[in-house]
Amino acid sequence: MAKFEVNVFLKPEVLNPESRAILETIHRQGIPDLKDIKISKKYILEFESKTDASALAQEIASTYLANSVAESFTVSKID
Amino acid sequence: MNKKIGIIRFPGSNCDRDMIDVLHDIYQVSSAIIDYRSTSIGSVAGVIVPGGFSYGDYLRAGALASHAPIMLELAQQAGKGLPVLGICNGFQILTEARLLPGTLLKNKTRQFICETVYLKVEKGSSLYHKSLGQACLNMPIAHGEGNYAIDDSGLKKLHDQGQILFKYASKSGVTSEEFNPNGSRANIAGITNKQGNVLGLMPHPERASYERLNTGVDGRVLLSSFLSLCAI
Repeated sequence: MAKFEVNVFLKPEVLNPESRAILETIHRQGIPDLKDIKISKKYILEFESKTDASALAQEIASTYLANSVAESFTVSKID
Repeated sequence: MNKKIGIIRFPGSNCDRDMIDVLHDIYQVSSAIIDYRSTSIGSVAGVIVPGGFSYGDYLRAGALASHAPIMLELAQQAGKGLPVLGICNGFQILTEARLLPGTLLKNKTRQFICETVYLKVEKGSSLYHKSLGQACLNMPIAHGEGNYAIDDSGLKKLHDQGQILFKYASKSGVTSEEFNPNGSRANIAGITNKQGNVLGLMPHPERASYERLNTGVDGRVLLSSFLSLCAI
């Protein structure tokens, strides 16, 4: 079985209101040094086959898991 | 000539019945519910993708619905000129399916917004642009992900090709940031495809169609326009 980790991020130019809310709260707690918080959504893909599934993992990430209009993603093999 | 309007029902659609009622009560037009698992749209004059929370908004709003079996057929028929109207979640589904450009992100305000807004009709060449005139329309919105996003080149194309139909505005038609409820790029509330037969918008025309609801009847202006496009 092959495992892949897919992380989906909002592109840097897209405002993430959730990230900003967390950042503002932490700033108010007296930690102004925190510059930014990037949030990603992590998916673990598990494949049955023993053959290399990297291409399939890439395809699943680009077709379903990320919307290229506003998001980017990374795929890495973890097992 | 087929006089029926098809309404696609996904798991989590919740404005499908409202639309059936409005079409029946206001226009005496009958509807056919199209199941999302179907691979055929059947004989209809136009299709409405209604509002709701298809698949519980899992993954992204509209993302899973955009891969439902019916969507391949919808894309083919839309390509041949079938009128398609996507409202709220329907708009989100149409962008995820790439039938309309851009995408809809979480509201900039971080809140679910439920209020009435004014919509300025922009210049363009579609039948909608021609029939709606220059008046501002008043309609309700109810969404958590209505923040329309598109890159610079995409926005330029929308402008150049006259695809923007509605912008959030003041009652008198001022489209400044002050009247932008959700952070949408360029105050965009509704767009068409290049051909003008596919329209998506976040506001709910079906919720602004009954006098007794006290939400105004401006929704009828848009729905009449859609039915004209459907030759009804």
